[in-house]
Amino acid sequence: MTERQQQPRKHPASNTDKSPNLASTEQPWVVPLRRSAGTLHPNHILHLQRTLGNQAVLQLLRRQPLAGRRIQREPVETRFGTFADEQYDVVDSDSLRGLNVKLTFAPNKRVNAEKIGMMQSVKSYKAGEPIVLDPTQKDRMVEDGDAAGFKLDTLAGDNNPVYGSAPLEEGDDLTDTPETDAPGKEVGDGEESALYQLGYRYRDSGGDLQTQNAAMHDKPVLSDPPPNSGQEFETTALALSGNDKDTYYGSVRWGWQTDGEGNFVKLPLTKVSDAIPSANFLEAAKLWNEFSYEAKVTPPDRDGIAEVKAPITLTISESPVVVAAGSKLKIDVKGEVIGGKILIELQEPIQIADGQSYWVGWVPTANIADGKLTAEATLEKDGKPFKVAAGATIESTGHVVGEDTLVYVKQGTILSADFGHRFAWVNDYDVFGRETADLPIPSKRGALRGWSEWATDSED
Amino acid sequence: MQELETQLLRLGYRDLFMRQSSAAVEQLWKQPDAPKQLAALALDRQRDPQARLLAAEILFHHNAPFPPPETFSELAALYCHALEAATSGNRWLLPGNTIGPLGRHLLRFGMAALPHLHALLTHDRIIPYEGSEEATVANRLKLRVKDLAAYFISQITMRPFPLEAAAALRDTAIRSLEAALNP
Repeated sequence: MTERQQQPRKHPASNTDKSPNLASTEQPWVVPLRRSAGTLHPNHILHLQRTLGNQAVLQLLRRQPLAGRRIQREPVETRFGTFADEQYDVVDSDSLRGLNVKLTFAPNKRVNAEKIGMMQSVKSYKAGEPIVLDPTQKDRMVEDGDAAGFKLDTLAGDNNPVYGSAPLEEGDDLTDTPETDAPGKEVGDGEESALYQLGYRYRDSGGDLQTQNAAMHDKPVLSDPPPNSGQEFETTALALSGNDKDTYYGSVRWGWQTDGEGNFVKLPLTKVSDAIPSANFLEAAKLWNEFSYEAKVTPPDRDGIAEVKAPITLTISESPVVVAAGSKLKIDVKGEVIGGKILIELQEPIQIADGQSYWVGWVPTANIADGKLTAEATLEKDGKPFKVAAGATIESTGHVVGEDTLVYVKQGTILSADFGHRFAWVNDYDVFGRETADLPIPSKRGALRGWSEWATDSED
Repeated sequence: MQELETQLLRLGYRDLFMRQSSAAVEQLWKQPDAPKQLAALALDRQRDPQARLLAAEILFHHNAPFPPPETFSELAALYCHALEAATSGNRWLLPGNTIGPLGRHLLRFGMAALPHLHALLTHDRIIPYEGSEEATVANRLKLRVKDLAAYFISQITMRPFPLEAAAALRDTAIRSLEAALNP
């Protein structure tokens, strides 16, 4: 990818970035963390900025309550439409600091799309270093380079990068993204409000123009952020379906930070790109695309029996157990999925890849050599027997009573288990699989419609 | 052990587990007799609970043969104490019912954790969540200590719990769980 593709040249007709230099603390959005009574209307702030200057506004803002302060900024024009922060409030409650934001994208006349989704990359950092808030998504965070610390902003287990969307069903792609997560509800901060709404701009079969803004609500926060902490976002709008499918409509940067003295600083909404998002976003998108959930079991037969293809984590009563490939599970294919999990029945023998503390029992000390069982052994757990094949890898707990040692079965074959139940919970996507819906990544100049038109279009 | 305790408290959960690099954990793990020292610290009631929890987490991180079954109740109490005081729910349970590392490790104690979790079913404090979309979703739900405790009980006893329902519905489900635990 060339530098030019990553950072498209500015269109002469587009708005230039008029945002003041953030490096200076003499800015109206530098908000010291202290409170006082009184309120100020955003229009007054803009007026004062234009008449008295930033220093006067800064002094005035310092007398205002921090939480809920709203400063709506100038909308950001890209080649394909307008990004606006309809809500851009400071969150300052209890231990949490951050923002309460509603972003919209209004498509302009160059857009021809039946679905437009908003998505974003995010970097959260504390004391100057990126942090992993969701440990299950560590692999989705860019490790090094300029984009280090950025990841696509999605929930764990989600396969759709559109902000706020539920996971897509098997066989669906971005085109199938629902119009909203809460039909009939406005996008906003309410408990029952929608998190997102898709946009569109196209002519229907009757030739009538259909248009709607895309919107999303985000309330990013960190707990007790020390100096030099914050959250930085790059939000883009993408055509999910229609004539422009896979076209990026530009991107904006926003977020917040605490400076070296702990002062809260809002990052103003600023343009990053007129079309294709920056390399920071695309690097995170590449990681997203690489990630997918493949079913870890074969399709169940008519009796519901499936074979494990890849190590799969089950929750047996109280403990996670990793069952190795080759084991058989009986799946209730008509069973209800509860909290993303379904119930399965273990079929003997069970190949244990990582028993952790679940398969624990007493084994004759004489049958242990070099951390392995030298003979088939019947162990006891909770007063009930289970039989382990010779060769199993075990870990001694160091407890020896008489001629027996208490061990964990780390790896091996459970030949039979006389337990009260042999049921376990398993993630539904481990059984049925789940693909992530890929984002378009421009691989060469002109690979995306947005870029090719940008590169060749005349001014208009 | 005092030095190890001090080191752990200085690093905290963030520097040990929330950085992209695991260097801090690996450095501790390379110290002489680290597994034994960490296990001893984790099980020492006289030591700082935060340091004990971090010691246990490092052992879990390295899949050490830990803890001995007879200590499950002791450690479950430690983890439930941490849940009661949690300043971030992300490490315990994430929206979409993805269980975080502390939650997964608490579940390992199985039935031994039930009495300690049961004791949290009256705790109404809302646990804040950090992040972006995950925080937006979870903070809207206003999940309380007792909601997370009930969820973990549901996992151990294999009963469903509607974590993402309204608070009033969660309260009803909690009463059902309590009734099932104390027939």
